[in-house]
Amino acid sequence: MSAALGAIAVHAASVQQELEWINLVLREPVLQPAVRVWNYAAPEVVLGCSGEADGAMLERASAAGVRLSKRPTGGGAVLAGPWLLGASVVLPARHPFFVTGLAQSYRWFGCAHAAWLQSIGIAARAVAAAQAPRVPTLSWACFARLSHWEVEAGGAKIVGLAQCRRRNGIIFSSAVLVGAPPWEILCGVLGEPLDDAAVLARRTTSCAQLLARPQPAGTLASSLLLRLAGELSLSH
Amino acid sequence: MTDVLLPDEVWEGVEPGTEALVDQWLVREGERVNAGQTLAKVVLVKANLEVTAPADGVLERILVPAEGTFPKGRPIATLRET
Repeated sequence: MSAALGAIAVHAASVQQELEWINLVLREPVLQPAVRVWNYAAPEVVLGCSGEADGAMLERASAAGVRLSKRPTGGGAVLAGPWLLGASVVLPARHPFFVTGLAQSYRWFGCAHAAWLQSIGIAARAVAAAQAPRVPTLSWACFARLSHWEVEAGGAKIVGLAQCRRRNGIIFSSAVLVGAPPWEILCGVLGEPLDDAAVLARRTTSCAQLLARPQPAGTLASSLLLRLAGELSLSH
Repeated sequence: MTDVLLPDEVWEGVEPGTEALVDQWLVREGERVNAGQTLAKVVLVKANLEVTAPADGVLERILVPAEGTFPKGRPIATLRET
């Protein structure tokens, strides 16, 4: 990866810009780790790599004024927006943090997020074993259940994780709830029952809900960036 | 005939009964491929992974089509080595 791309940064961006950055860094062999943290200004529905947007979904998204994107990583749909921080960590294919077994491969990433949340005053923990879906019909939503080493606080999910492995490198991605998302937008665009919005609200929590003194998303983004960069011994 | 598989090591720690999903095939049956070439993209435990050719040869038969699922150890295609 070109040094001009920089090792670490916070971006106010759209999901499209995030995806373009990921495509750019994976176009050539990744030579050194890099971290980006993303603030999203506007609501966007982001499907996992195996999700498909049909014509009806595109129409619903357009009617709701919401962009629809597809990320290269797996997992269920996410509603990006001002209530969410995204983090992308790119690693060389032979980086020491790379673990072949998928379940354990998320450990360092989930624990880094849990440690960061603890450092700002949230009693969070990364959960080793995946949680069986309590509501199978909600499998379309990333935040409906905890997968390996995802992070919960007070029994509710606060960080979702995913990854994409390519011969040129590995991308770890996270989605952190800094505020309460309008889940009904996600349900509406996906064509799922609006009652699911209440279930998602119960299953999740956010920094705003748990912090005694709420912090601006930009402040949270900067501290998350520094935490992840510290894990990888990176600097500006 | 050689099986095309997602290596067992990748499945370590994954709950029994979990299946992977074939997201996309990048080659067709009858196509010549090189060892290490990416043949398909699959999804397991929220990860998108490449399945590569174990040897030079011809992709003989796709056993799990796109959007199909498969358990640990099941070949997703067969390869005729050349």
